[in-house]
Amino acid sequence: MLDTHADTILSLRDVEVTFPLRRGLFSKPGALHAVNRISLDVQRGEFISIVGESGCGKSTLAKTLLGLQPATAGTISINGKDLAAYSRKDLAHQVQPIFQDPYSSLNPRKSVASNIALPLILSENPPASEVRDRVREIMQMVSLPQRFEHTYPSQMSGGQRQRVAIARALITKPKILICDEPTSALDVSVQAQILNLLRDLSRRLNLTSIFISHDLSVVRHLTQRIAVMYLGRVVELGESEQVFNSPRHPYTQLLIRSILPPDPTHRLPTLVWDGGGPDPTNPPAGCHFNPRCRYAVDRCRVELPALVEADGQQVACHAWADPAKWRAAGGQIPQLS
Amino acid sequence: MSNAPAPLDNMDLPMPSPRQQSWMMAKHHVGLQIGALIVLVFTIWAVFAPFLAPADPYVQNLANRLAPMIWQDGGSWDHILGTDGFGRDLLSRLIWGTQVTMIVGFGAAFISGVVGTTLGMLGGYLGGKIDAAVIFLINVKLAMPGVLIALSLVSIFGGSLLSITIILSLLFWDRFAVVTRTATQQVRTREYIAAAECSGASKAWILFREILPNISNQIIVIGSLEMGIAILIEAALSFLGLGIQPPTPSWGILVSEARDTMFFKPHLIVIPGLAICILVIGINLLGDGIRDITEPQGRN
Repeated sequence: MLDTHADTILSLRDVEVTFPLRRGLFSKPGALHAVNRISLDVQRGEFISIVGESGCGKSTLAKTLLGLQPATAGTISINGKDLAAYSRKDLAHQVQPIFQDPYSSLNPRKSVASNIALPLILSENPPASEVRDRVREIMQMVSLPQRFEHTYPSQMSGGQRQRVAIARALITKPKILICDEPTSALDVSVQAQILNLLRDLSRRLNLTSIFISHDLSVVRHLTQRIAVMYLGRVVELGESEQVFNSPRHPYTQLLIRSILPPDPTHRLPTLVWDGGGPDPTNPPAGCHFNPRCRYAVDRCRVELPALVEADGQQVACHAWADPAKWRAAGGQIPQLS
Repeated sequence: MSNAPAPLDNMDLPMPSPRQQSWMMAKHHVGLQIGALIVLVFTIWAVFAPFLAPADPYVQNLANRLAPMIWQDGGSWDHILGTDGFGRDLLSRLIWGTQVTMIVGFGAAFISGVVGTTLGMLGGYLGGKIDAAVIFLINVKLAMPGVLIALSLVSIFGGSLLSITIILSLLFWDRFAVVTRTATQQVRTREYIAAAECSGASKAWILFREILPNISNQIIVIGSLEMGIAILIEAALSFLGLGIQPPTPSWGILVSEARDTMFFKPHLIVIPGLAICILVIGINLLGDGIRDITEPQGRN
């Protein structure tokens, strides 16, 4: 199931990120499991997306993959080498980030060219002429006219800034791109441009991209595989089209139903079984999703379902672990409609 | 019917460089121009005092005490602003006093700026125990009655130019530390800091190349405020007889010496007082102006 493929570039094994919590002076210190035993293999050149609602731990996972947030347990290996064994500068040649907010991800005191050149200067420090040439080359690659070289981020639009951020991420020729909601701060019209640019560049440069998003409609046509996260755990993992056409986990079904079609005659979807967001500091016992799940039975409130294979997809749901037994026990199989 | 000329595509014109933009903004910024002019004039006075002063500021002439200014009855070109109670030329003492006053003002603001900014940035960026230590130092400083401490230190170490400058800078670093600490905490959470960390930037690089330029506006504003306050406090200490020691001409001493005669010859106290006032206003205008023209958000 999770065997290390010959061309696996990124491999996560039981990765956990836990933040200690102290609620008050006299209460027992708790812990927030932002990322909870995630195992995932990413192939070279793959475009995989991680989706989930706010607070499900997807951004923490991104920070961990970038080496900004150490994992409290488990191993992450890139190209077969442990993440912790990389020096910061070597890691910069492997993994680079594209952040959510292009208004905060560029240094407002630096020109576009010096913002883009930063990773190059820090990791290789080539002569100034080479820096200039490579900045121009990468600006052309992301379709930024050369006249922007000496402008400042505050003079640019959100889409242009995100192009600058992409150029900065690509200048050290990394193998893996971590995109943490790169389009959620942009206008819809600009979103498509940036997404197409990311997809084209990924193909052209054979990049491995990990695309983190809360918006399923954005990732549908972009990525080959989708991992759905809920409260720090992967609840469903599979080929993009398969996840969309036959979502297994009730949470994935909920997400897909909540996509708004671009048709003004449609009403807002009625999400009948949404009991509000969960508290990540105090997750429910058993399956974390059970308070919001209309298929939940007593077993779901006690036993945590494991991620198991079901028709090429991996699902963490008791109903899909053994559907025949589930039905025999009077359970209902989760359906999209 | 001829073909209409193709519209000029503005998008292909190069954008103005930041220096050009700052210059364009400076040309319309009256406050900045006035402040720069005042500071420039006083700086020239200070630097070229030996050439600009018409007379020796120390030479006394008891036969010519309290001479009137040139536009008053009995005024002469020998002493344009008249003479003080010892017959010394007031204009010369004012010009030489600029030197002392500006050295104390710039020196105290610079030293306290370096100390306070370093502490504030370290506390704000590193957090944890270092931040706790910085906050402790700030609280200790805020709990101390500054001017009283300064008075006692001056009485211990004497009123030389160097000791006054250092003692005044000990009075002012806390405001730099408070402001830069908060500003650093804000900038630290920006994603460009994370991006720099992802590329292997050292702590020193992040502090000096990423954070410092983004909090320089606050430092400039605090610096210009503190420079003005340092000049005022130096004048106050000199007035109390605990600052720079006479006969060295500092503006505070000019005010202090003139208080015996202020009801008969008010210009002796008004002129150095006005000079202090104008210089402090000029420094503050200049600081605000520099902030305005270098602020990236202001470039639109």
